[in-house]
Amino acid sequence: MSPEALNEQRKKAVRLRLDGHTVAVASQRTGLSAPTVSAAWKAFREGGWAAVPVKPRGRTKGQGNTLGAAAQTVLWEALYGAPPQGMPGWSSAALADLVNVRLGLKLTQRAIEHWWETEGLLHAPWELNALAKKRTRAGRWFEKTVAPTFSLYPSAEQRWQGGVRRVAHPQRALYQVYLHGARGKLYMRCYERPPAAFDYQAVWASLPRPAAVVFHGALFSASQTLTEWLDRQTTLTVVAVPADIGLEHR
Amino acid sequence: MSHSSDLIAEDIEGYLKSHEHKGLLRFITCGSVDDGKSTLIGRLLFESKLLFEDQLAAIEADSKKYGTQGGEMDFALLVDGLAAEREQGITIDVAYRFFSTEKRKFIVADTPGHEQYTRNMVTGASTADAAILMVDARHGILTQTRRHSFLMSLMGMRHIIVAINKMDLVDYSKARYDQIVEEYRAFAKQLGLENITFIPMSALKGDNVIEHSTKMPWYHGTTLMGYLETVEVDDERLQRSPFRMPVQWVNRPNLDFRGFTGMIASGVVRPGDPIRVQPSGKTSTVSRIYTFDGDLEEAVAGQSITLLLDDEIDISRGDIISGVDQPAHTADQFETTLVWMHEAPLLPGRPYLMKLGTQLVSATVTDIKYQVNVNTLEHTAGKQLDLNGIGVCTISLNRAVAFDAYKENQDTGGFILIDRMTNNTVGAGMLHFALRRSQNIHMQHVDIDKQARALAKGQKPAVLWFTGLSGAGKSTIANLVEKKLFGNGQHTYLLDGDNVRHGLNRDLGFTDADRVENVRRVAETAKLMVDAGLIVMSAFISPFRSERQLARDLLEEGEFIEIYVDAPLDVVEARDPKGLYKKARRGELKNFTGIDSAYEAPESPDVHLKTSEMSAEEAADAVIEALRERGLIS
Amino acid sequence: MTSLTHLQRLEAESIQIMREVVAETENPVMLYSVGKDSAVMLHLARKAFAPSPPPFPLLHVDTRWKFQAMYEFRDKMAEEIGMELIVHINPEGVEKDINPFTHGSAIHTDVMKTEGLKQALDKYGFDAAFGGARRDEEKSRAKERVFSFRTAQHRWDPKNQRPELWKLYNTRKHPKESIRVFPLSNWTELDIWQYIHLQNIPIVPLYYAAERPVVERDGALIMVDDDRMPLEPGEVPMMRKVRFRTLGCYPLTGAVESEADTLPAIIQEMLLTKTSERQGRVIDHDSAASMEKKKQEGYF
Repeated sequence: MSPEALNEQRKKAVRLRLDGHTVAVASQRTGLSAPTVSAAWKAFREGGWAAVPVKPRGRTKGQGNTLGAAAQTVLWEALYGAPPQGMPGWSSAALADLVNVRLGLKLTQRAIEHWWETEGLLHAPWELNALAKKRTRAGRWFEKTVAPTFSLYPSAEQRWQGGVRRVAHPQRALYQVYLHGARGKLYMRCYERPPAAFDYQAVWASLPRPAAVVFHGALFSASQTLTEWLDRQTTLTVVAVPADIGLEHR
Repeated sequence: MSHSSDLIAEDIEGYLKSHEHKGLLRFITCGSVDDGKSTLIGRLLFESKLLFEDQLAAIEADSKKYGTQGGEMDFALLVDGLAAEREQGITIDVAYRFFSTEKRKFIVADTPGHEQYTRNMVTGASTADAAILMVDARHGILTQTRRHSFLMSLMGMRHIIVAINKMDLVDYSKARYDQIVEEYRAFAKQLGLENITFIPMSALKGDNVIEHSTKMPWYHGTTLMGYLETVEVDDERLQRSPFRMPVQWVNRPNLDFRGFTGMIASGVVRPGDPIRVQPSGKTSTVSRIYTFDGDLEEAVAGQSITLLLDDEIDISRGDIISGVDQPAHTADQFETTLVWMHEAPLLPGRPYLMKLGTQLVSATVTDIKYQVNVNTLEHTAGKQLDLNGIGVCTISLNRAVAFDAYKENQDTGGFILIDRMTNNTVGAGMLHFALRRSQNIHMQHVDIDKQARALAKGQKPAVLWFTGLSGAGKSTIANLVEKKLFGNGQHTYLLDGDNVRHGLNRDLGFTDADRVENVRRVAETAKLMVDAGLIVMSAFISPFRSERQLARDLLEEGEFIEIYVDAPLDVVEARDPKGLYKKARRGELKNFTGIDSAYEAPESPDVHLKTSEMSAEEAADAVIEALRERGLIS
Repeated sequence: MTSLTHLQRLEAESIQIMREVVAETENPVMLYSVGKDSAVMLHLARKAFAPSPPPFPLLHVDTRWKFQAMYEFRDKMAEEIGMELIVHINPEGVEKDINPFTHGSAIHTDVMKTEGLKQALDKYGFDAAFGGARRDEEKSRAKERVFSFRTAQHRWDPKNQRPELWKLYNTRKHPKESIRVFPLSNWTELDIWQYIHLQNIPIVPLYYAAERPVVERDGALIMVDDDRMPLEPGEVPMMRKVRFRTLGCYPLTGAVESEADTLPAIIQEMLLTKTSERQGRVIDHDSAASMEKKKQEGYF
């Protein structure tokens, strides 16, 4: 197996392990020996994706120094806590600032985003507008529900999309609320349990008003507190994404 | 060999397709835990990788804690020991385990190898296509091996694998292997076992189980899995045999559709085929083979179908539909081999129920020709068959049934015996051939019959069967009843110990077998007398329900009146009119009912006389009254 | 020469068993749990007795806490096939409002399912009941017979059980005794799924992955199937793509995260993840903690 192929298989093995498959299955499906699978997995746990390939040629873009333990501790602590005042969640810029303030370490936004990727925290925004003319269920939903709401919130800065999901992580209980603002800029917060009503309230309350949020992944109608709170909001509209509409893929 | 995870992961549709055409093989493993049987089964289950993750994790952990293999994987732990059930008293068990490969689905019947589990092994073997006989290479052919081989030949097993296991402990010696093979071949010749495959293996190390062993380059045969995946199941032979379908159930949803449902036991059938129904012998032609998925152009052994015929002939559950040219035989007496499956022994002369295919008939073992010692194969004489006993017996049925010899077809030649009282399955048997006499017996028609005679006497004949402990008052009451009947102008006769035990039944004693025979003779005599038009009374202890049922069954509806002369043991013992209880208590009389022999009280007698509460006179009146109510006397 | 596949043989065997029961018992019934095994058993019954609908009713012992989707599916199937559907709910259970939250799963199951079944059998006088249990479901079932005899009090007495040889089943019983019959005894989980796939047998949509509202309870994902599900103050159910590997009372049945929304995908997932059917637990990626947890729960 060529070095490139080998590293591909090592990464594949790690993905399989993340999905909960056994070493045996990962070994069979990648063609790597069980010890190699274990080693790759161990490397991932200790150093993330960058550590998985055998010869660290893994500098794909930018500089990507593997973030040290101290930085990671600061980052995790921040993510599980409240973001800076006025922000609905942590942006990569805000996190980079924090690390600089706390540790005097200058990390670029890109470095933070790479780290997000290795931890499974990265999220890509949905092409909502592309649904406009589609004759699919998603297209019809967009026409019927999203477009009318967006028409009340004309500027791009007022339109948000976001959601909540559980992130598969080898060491942490990790639930994430992600939000995309104008130009898809990503904000996030992490929780150790599924967020509760006051968590969502906190997130939305900190959105600059007026705001419309297309939100995926939670059944708000089941929470009386939240429903009542949302009803009282005059400058905030939350549009729940219906089940199985297809916005979120694995 | 096993389920390729790559194929599953990359191309599930392709994988599913490749598993659509698998066959099915059932096999039994004969051996004991010490032979490595559990290790072997465990390895087969493990290697097929269809174990569940928590089971896998469990045995990995258990192997470290409890395993016998020094922390390495102990496959035997996967296989439940049957010890636990022995404690719970569940001993009629066969454990069925499942695994599959790309070639086949497997069902493994696992039973303990000990002699006391013969009935389990017979049960497990009855549905198996192949048998694996475990031999420990160090010990070679043992009594157990012979016993298992005999049982397999008895059951008609067509494929035998002699797994010579633990080769790792004999240095993988070819000489040792050859020695064992030679010894076994000589023995197998005696039994007439054919189709034997020998495989040297180590279930522990994995040699020749799934993978070819590198340690035995002198062996060029197949691995066990290779054999299991490719051995011919009985399909071809059965399909070439004559067509047989035992009718299970008649399907008549409307006036236009009359379908006979069943599973084809052998042969092939097509629309247009001429058929014959047994035992009636009527013929017709197949018009359709109906299934839920549409009519079939052809159906083969092993399929469950619905047959429609051109003609409206009388067919019901129990009949066998055969090909017209080679129909099933019919007979009502056979030579069979029986395997006894119950603690209560087989008593010749006692009526049982036989289930053969879909036929249910009354059956009596008329003679035990000899018993077979399962370990030595010696023939011995015997008057009864005990649990796990194997005997060649003649059986007589109350009507003719359709059948094939067991060695031709297990489904039309294999049967079970059911105890009529307890409903337990007490025996399993194989029909060998019909006894010639049975095919030529005709009932002599008599013009002067029971009705004519009864009319001549001006009465309805009946049997008044008095039953109860010795000293309860049966004879006393019966005598009084007879006097009253005589006074009424009836013609009667009384059979009791006094006039029967010293004549007709002089040769009988008081063992259980003798009591059964005693009752049988009395019952047959009573039947002849009823045929003569008499009202017969019989006063015998007749302690077994089964025998009283036998007597009842000989007669027509309403002709048998069971009268329970009910006196508690302490009362009769106090009376002790003939001093017998005292003698019995002293041990001078053996097999005395109530003392060391059982009395099975009637559960719903026609007349129940509590003699501690009434006088003999009153009891006799009660009997007369009962007869009046039933319209037997005026 | 025609070779029968293993599914053809299993099918023929199950049909033969069902026909024996109808021929030899007075008042049979088919226990219908609405799950995938019931679906196969029902399909086999249709085949066994076609062109008539099966000559016995379906009995659903309802605990009142099944998934809504199951109730809808059940009613639709009974109507389509044209069989009488008897739904029995333990009246004492209703009176005392027995439920899994207040009383716990053990009592709820015992009262509503176990007692409920006995009541139904007594009430309608059924002397034989088809059940969808298989020998490969649990180690303890390896020795179960196809025909299981029960006393008048529905108890299982080892002395009443009979050896089963060849294809002969002894169905003789005393009045008031009854038989449980398991026509799927020799079918494995994989056989069931393969058969459903090949025969296009409809199954409850819950077996397929879809986004459903779930909450976590003791490490399991429980679906919020109706408004009876008690939520913690402020709890908001998450919409996660999940499916169910086994169906039962919704508060007691865990979902698994899955993308398998077609039958082949379900089979694929089942074969690759290889966890016993009865598990409905969240796969915890925290490897050390999950090992510990599993040990405590007796997996090892």
